[in-house]
Amino acid sequence: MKINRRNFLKLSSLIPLATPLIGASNPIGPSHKTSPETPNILIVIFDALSARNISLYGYHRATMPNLARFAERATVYHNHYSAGNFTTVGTASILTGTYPWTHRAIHIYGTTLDAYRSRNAYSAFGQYGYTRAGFSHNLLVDVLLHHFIDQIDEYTHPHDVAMMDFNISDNLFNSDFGIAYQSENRYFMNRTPPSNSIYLHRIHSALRALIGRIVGDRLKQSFPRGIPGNQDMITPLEDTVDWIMKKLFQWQQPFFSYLHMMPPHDPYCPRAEFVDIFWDDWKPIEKPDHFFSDDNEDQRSLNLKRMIYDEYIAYVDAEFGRLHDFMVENDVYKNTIVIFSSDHGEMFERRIWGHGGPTLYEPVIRVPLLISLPDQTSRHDVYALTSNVDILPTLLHLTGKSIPTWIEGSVLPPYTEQEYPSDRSIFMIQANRNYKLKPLLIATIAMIKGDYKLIHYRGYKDFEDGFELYNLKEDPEELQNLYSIRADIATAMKQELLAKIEEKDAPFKQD
Amino acid sequence: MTFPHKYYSKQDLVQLTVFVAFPIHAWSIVNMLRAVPSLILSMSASEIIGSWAYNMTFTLLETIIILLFVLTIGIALSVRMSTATFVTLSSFLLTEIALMRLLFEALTDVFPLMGFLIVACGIILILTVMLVPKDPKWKDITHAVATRFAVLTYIYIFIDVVGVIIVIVRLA
Repeated sequence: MKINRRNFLKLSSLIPLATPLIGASNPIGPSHKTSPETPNILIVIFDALSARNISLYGYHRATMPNLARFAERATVYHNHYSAGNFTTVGTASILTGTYPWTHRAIHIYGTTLDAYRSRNAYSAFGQYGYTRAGFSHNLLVDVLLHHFIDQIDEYTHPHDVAMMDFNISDNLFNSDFGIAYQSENRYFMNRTPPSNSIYLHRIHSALRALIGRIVGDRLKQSFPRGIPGNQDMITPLEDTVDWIMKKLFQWQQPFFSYLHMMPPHDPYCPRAEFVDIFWDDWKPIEKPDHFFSDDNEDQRSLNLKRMIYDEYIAYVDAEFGRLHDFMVENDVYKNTIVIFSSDHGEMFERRIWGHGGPTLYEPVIRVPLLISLPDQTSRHDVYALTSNVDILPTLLHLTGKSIPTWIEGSVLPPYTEQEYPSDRSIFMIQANRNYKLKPLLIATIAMIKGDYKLIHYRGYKDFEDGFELYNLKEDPEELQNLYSIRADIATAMKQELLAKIEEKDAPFKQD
Repeated sequence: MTFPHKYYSKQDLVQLTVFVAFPIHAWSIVNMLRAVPSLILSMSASEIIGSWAYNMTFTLLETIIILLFVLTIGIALSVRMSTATFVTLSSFLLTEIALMRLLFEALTDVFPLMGFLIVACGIILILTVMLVPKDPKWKDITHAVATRFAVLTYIYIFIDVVGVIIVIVRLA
């Protein structure tokens, strides 16, 4: 072919398509503008992933072998906790570096106080020239992302990645998403409380089932336990991982990207190859009932749910492994800080299933945290007590940025120059029955300090206010309440916790 | 003559609008009022108003969709059934379906014989279809009910329109 100007221009147009192929020898993308001071930041969150079910953290089943491969080039945090036990609370703490008693995104569909529209990870990195991106399958996270939308340069709608999206609000009322989405749910979803609609929710659910069946039929063989997604969206993780791979080449560098994937959140829908891989004789320790136990649950059904959840984690791990391989092959790790974590865990014990209830036992608040720095080639293990509120200050510190005073978290070891306090207290708060703008009167608040964990219940109907104390080192399954046995420790921790609550409640107390 | 007037008189349209809109709005508003305590927990006053506005917008949408559906069915059946009979019959059916929705909602978790209830509701609907067209007094009854509820229905629709305006302002 003769290379004239016209043919040259034709061939030039193909160059962007070839970028992924030539990218193997260059750090991601053609617009490589990162430097040691401004590496890319990629936060990968998998929803409801309990550290207690991850093989890397000593779980009985081999759920995450690929995460172990990633760990070989990362710092692994072994005592890491979410600040809450459901998506809104946990995610808001990651994005603001503050505890729920401060940011106050404490309800489902909730948002933070308005002050945090300009006090979050997006605002913190925006002033340093970062391209700030956000994506989530979970619409509760989308409510938060919309709350911070003025600070986000590239927001991706879930429906851009989903195979099917039956939500109205993210298509029609995007600029007022939080309120619209909550209203839509009340109107179209016949849950508890009942739908506000007589006819429309039936029409909506029939159409959703029909289209879901048409779309889902193609995936039925691959996903025999159901199609991944939530009630209104079909979102196979494979598509999302492919999309991330594409975006890694498209985001203007340096980028700060928060990606929040729905799996392994229920409904648990592992791919066919993972179905029944954990069909074994192993039975987890049976634990005593709690006041908040569910009479409809029993240990047998919880064990079955746990097994399918573990299968779903293995599926998540396989897809994360694919992303990891891609990032290795394309030198993404050379100039990118990669963070792997979760917003909260999942419970399968004490006749309690899931998350978001009034209890704060280990499975629902212990989450993974792995941080891989640019060009990191070896594994570090950290056993200090850490929290998701520490992620934002650590990222700011690692990129040489100043840490705003409103952040409550600390720079994580081993990155801090100062000695990390061994007697540090971290907190978890569940207050979804409390008023957003009032002191914490109905809540469960946990505090961990050293080996001990104090759980405080307050204000629940028919349940006396009280405390539980556990030694997590000697009793990691939280079977023996030491509150009355170790009165010395209990009293000291109780005083500290109540003083902290008093301090955090102060701005919400009326004169 | 405009298209719907070819099949329906103004009185027919008012009657059908009342029987479609009134139960939809009553159900929606009652449920929304029940939700207010939980909304107060997490929302500011402007957010609660916004939530109301979306709810009324969806309510108006539901009313329009169901009304158009009923009108279309009436036109489709016009060769086999007089408009007057259709309006009377559909007024009954719309009321019964709304009451059944209420009944199912109240009894779902407590009533042990839901299958029986479904069959009973089905029989009531069939009897309505069989009996109502045969007796002209039902027409007068439904017409009288529609006349009494018309003003309230207009107020509901006015509230919907206010809701739509609030939604538009919020989105602007």
